[in-house]
Amino acid sequence: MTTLNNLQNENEVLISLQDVYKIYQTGETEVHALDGVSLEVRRGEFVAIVGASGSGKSTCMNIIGCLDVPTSGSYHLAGQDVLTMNDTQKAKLRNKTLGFIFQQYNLIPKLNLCENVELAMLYAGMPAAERRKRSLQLLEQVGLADKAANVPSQLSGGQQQRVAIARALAGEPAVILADEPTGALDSQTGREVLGYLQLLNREGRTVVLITHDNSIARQAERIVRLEDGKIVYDGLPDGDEAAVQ
Amino acid sequence: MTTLQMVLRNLMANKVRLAQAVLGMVVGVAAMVIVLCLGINLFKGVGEFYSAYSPSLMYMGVYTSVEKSPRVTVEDMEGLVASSEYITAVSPLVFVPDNNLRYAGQTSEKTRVRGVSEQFLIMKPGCQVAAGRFLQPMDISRRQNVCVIGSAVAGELLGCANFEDAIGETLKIRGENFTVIGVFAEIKPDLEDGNYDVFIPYTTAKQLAGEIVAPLMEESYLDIYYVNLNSVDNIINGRDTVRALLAEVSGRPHGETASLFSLSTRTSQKYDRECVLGLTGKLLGLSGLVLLVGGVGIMNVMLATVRERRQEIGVRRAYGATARDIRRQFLLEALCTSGLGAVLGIVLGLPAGLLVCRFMGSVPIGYAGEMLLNPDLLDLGALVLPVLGGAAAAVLIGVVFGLYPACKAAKMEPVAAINAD
Repeated sequence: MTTLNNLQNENEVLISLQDVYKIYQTGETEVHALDGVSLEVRRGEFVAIVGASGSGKSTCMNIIGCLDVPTSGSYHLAGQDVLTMNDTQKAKLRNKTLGFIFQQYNLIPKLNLCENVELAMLYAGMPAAERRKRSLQLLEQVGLADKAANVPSQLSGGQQQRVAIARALAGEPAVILADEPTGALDSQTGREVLGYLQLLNREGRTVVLITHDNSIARQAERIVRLEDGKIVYDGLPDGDEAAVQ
Repeated sequence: MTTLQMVLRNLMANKVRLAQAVLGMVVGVAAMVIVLCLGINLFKGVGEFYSAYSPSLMYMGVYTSVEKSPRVTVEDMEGLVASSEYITAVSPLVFVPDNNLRYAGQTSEKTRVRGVSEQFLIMKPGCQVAAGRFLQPMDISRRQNVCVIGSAVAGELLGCANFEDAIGETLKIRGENFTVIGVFAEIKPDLEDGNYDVFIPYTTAKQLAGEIVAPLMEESYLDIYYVNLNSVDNIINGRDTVRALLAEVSGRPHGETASLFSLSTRTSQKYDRECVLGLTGKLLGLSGLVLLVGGVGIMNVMLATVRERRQEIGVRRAYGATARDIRRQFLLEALCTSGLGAVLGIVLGLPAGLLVCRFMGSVPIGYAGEMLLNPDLLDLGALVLPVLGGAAAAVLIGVVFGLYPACKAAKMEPVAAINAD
């Protein structure tokens, strides 16, 4: 088993947003999707970012994922200043540090499960044979090794999301970013997927989960609640202010 | 390479769309390959045709003013063989028009009767006497009614399978009897199809044909000669030698009362090749237009593909693909599409090109162009060019028309791409 080198230093700050604004100009009016957000996530944490739709949680997620840039503020990921990076550097950072899980799984329909899982390794430049070996291992971990040659459309939603989890793990990322990972699943399957995320967290990975579902959020160690682009609660899941109203 | 496999899989996944994208390329490349086959065949055909003649042969027309000038005689011209270091043989060429060749009540219209001297044989090395003999000086000086005939005349008109049987037979040329003294072996058909030639002594021919006054050149006699030079390098020297002779005989500078038109085999071949190249170039331009249309087709399909796969692009970006990776992927897809089109175009175009050459070589298409077309000349080496041309077209079209969709894919914002439906 590959040792998770980048998972050392238990208390190191991995994600650091400082006074981040994201402002969209729509005609005359400015929309503050993020209105001065500061947030630190340490290694090994399991954080749920919750909020109603339009609260800015997706924007926050995209900025953490280096997929979007804030209008102002600063963002450091694993000690690196993301906002000064060019496209290639950000691509490399995403490749090495982040693993994405999407609500709609977003598996590539024409690739089989193996090839989907291999994506991060492909862009990391890993040799084909090694990629194949590792992707089979990962599929085995999520219980889908026997379907390695299938294409995503042959799988149920829960199975697809498990493939997506395997894919997210392929690059040995320090941070798993899961955007409403259970949103498209029934509650039973959703709990199963959440179980996988908790398992990953226990293995030492940092998990940032976005959800609007309080029952899911309550499984996290820490809840960050956004409203109108501002953090209105940041603390334990059992706090009064934690739940989305 | 997995990227390539992935690209191929993507292409194969939607065969209707692939066919749509590839069709224009297939037609364009096939057209280009056909044109190249035709051009190469004509180009080689020209070389083949002129190879029947001595490369240092010159066709000379001597124009002499009827009233004002002494006229260069055959003896003057023949004297050049001895006096000039460049000239190795001279033969007058006298056309006998409306020859109306008859044998045993049958008439042949394909034959061409010409008067030459015994030196003519030097100038057409392709001609071999198969039976009997060629003209000799005695036949010329005595104005004998004898003839040497091509293999087709012996075979078709005289009906002699064995050429020896034709010797001694009598033909009628413009009503006069001529005895066959020789038959040429069959030669490869060339521009004038020499198998239908009938050669008689030029002295006899002059009597039959009468005096020739040059058309368009008022009041001028036209004497035509074949002049053979010792080397192709001496074409200008040979021409100047004859010009000097004209000036000497007429007593005036060349061009005043006597002038010379001359054309060498080599120059003529050069003109013909330029003509072939020009024609091929223009046809290639046309097939290039078809290729452009094919390229636009590829671009449209690629744009649709990029639009359809925005989410895939976003996911790839999220997992570490750089803009450059995305651009490369879609460019490779465009290249594979145009490459497939080119392969199909070549596969269809080569046999089609050979068929076109064979068909056009078998029907008269004017200026005896059909004589130049012989698909047997298109050996493997000659087919390399059409194949390379098709490959080059594939790369060029793929890059030119694939770049825009690929850049569009690369420029997509990852966020927007992931969230696209």
